[in-house]
Amino acid sequence: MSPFDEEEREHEEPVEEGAGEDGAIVDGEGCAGAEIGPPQRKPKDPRKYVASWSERDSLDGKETRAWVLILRTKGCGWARCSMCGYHGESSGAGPDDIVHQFKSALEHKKGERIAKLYTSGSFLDEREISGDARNSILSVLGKQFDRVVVESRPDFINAETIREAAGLCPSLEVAVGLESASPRVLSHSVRKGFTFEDFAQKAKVARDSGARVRAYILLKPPFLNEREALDDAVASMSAAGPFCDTISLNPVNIQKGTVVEQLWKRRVYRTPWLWSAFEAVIRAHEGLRKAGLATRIVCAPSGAGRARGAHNCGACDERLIPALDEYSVKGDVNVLAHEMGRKCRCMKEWHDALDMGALHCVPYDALKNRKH
Amino acid sequence: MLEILTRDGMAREARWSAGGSELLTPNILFVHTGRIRAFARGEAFLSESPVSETKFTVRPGNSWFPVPPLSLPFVSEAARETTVPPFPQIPAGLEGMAGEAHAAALESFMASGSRIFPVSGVFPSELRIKGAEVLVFSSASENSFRPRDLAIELARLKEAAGYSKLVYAPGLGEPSHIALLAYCGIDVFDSSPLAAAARSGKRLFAGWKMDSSEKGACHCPACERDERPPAGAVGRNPLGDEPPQPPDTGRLLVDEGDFLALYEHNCYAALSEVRTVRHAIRKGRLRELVESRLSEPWLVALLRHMDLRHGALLERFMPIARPESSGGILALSRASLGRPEVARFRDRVVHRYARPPSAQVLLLLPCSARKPYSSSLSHRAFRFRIEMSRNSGAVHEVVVTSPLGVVPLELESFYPAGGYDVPVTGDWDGDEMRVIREQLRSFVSAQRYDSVVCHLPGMEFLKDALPPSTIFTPPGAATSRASLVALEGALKEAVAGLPRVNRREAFLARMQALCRFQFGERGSELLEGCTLKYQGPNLKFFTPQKKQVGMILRERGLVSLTMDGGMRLLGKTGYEVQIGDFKPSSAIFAAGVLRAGKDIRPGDEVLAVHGGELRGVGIAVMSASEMEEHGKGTAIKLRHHVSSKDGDSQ
Repeated sequence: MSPFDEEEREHEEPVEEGAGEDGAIVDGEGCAGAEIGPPQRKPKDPRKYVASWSERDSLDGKETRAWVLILRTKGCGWARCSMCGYHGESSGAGPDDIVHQFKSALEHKKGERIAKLYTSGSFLDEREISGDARNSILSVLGKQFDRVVVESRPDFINAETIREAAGLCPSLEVAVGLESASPRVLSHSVRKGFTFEDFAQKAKVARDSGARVRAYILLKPPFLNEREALDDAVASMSAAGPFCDTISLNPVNIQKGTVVEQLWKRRVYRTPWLWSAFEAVIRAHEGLRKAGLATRIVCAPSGAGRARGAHNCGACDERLIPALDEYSVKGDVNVLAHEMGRKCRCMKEWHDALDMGALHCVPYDALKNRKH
Repeated sequence: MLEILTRDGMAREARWSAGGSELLTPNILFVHTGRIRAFARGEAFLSESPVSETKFTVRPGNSWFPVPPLSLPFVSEAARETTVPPFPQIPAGLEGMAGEAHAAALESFMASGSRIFPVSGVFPSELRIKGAEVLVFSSASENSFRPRDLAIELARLKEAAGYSKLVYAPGLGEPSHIALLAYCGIDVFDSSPLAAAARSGKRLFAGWKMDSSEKGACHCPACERDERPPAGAVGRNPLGDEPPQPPDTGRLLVDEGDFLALYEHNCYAALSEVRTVRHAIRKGRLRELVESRLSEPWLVALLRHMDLRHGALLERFMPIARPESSGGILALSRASLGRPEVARFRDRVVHRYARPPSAQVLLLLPCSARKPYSSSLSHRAFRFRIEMSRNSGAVHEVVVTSPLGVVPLELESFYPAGGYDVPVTGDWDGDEMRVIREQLRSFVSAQRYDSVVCHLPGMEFLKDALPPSTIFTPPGAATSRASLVALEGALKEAVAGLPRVNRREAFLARMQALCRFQFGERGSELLEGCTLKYQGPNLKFFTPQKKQVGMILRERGLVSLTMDGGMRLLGKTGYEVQIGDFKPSSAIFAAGVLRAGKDIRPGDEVLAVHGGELRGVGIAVMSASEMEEHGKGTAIKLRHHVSSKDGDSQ
């Protein structure tokens, strides 16, 4: 049993069984347990990718499957965000190692139409993946998939790179971790190192150069209470909507070695309620449609239903998580509205959190976690 | 504007006028949100909109993290004073850059027109923020998981911000917690934890809690209403059926009606407790209330950390005397041993006290239930035997007692010796024994007596603290005839060969020892060459020129000075307050104080001095550090001053 389990018991979270892993990541072949985030000093094998799996997704409104691969690179050049523990995955992988990782993973794909290639950093950062390696990977992907998603910080997005990449891979979607549109959330909570304006400008460059853009928005970054978090996520999705094709709402999960984990261990932070994710998606979805935007919203919370992920009371989580999945694939907001309409007793607790959240000086998560 | 009305250590009753109304503290702000409506009986609220025209409302303020920037709703100038400025709630140690949360809070405060300053992140060691009258101690709730850290943070906050700022601890306010937190210097609470407790089915009392399924224990209006049997239930077994058991879901969730009734009950309980705490502060008895509320381990731990690790801070504000109406200290448990004023008394007996030089025989006596000791039957019997020794002036009566340790008899009326009560069963617990033994050992080695007579049957554990030559009277009741005869014999043996001490001089020497205890090393000079005269129960001191230097009032137990007495002590005591160049009348306000001797505590007898010239004598209302903060209010109540007739008589 990992020390992880201990902590979860300490918190007396309702869901204990099976806790101990982050959830969303399925072990990749050749990967000894996909432990995401721990700041381990153990040298990682640069020839082995972090993880790979297949998941439900949709393409142009039709359900399909996506092949996901996480490559092991030198890691994120920023690596300072308060909620991100992925820098524990880095190694000294060179271009040959990375191409090898890609090829060995590709053997296991099973006819998926979408490819998602992540690096725990920026795919377009040449410090992580050299231009040659990137081009050789993209040209393979461009031939085999109908949609290719890669991630990058705005710093590495420029017209030249995108044009070259989109030329090899016409269905390219560049995902940017915007996290929030609020300058204070970006600087003091997430510590993102770039601004909303940086994102907006580079998103336009990417789109003008032939790529699609996906924005990640965080639900409940540190130091925000449930109410502030919900409002910030909705406002950020509305602000990002005009600049991207897809928005992925990411409820914060507790990753090892992060500021968020410290907050959580100090018992002053609770991961967001699934109800908040529902509410945020419904409000943003309706807002975007009202504004005449077709931007798609997806939400697949990591570790959902567990102490370290977005969760409710433990009784309703199991029916709510598939609904988020269903919405993400089908885009039908009524799926979410219907589930919210079915309610659960814990909804009152969630409403308390939102209510008390309006009293900005009251640290409600902290006092709810108090045992005495 | 903030005015402190009464003080009891770090706790105080204060009146804060802001935003056009007044808040009496300690108090609890009842939250008012869309779903949790304000508790109507409450005296003050935490709400975005005013709950009542007459009652005090603190506004929680806006989020510091808004997007897009909120267009702020119009808030009147007055209402801004009681609005918490937006601030990032970042715990210390988790900031991106140390001090960024504080800097953001400061910037926000400056722009806000508020009198409330939100403390966030790492705060500097000097937190004298101009215009701030209330501090939001935002990490209090988080730190209540860790009493040691809470004590450290609280002490740091008090040191940084000073005494004369109110402290609001958001997220704290359960009835069981209010007394201790007030004792630790927190003035304002809120009802958010009452709602959280109600949501998990807890009915709170001061010092107790129950599950919501347990009915019938409370008769507050909320519980009475909630538990009235439904129509048609008449004729049921009056003893009631088994209460319905809550579903075993691992944690208890109650339905909305139950929640509201429970929450209302919790509000009643907390408001009652707040009022009880205020009463205890007015009576000088908060510590007794605190000890009676120690119902949870973390509370005991917090009090212990405060006593053991931050006792010096608490002591700085602890009164040196209390009105007789306070009823004296009740030392009921182990927690009482560490009481700051008790620890101070023990410390001063070891470090400040010096025995009368002529009293060379130490006689250790047990305490008595009746105080002062000398008025008890047992002590009168001891006194008779001391007189029979034919050199009573050479015998120094010292009482050994818990929790004070060692009390020289001349200090018997000095607070807290003058009135305290302990449960006496003849059993001593380990800590008690250790404290008394160490106290006695230091006392005996510092005072260097010629011989020691120990008349403490049942306290054999003190043996190794005493010199080997000590004469022990035989075991058995201390007041039995055999025991008293043995005492007389032992005393005769001890005084044999000692020069005879004049009784008058012996008594004067004891009073000089008291003066030294009260005013410091040179305090005994106050009574040099003086004669003593009883007037009723009060004792007056006169110089050979027949000028009165002071008197001891029975209930105060301290020397009250005249101007002549003040002149005698001028320049010789730390109990001097330097004031501005003005002729004071009956009171000196904190604003008029320049510097105050660091040992000054509320209740101390002090000299008001300007440039080496005595301007008045009187009783300190504040402790030295509060005087030096120059807040509002009286620092010294003068008894005599230069311009008054009797004081100016020289």
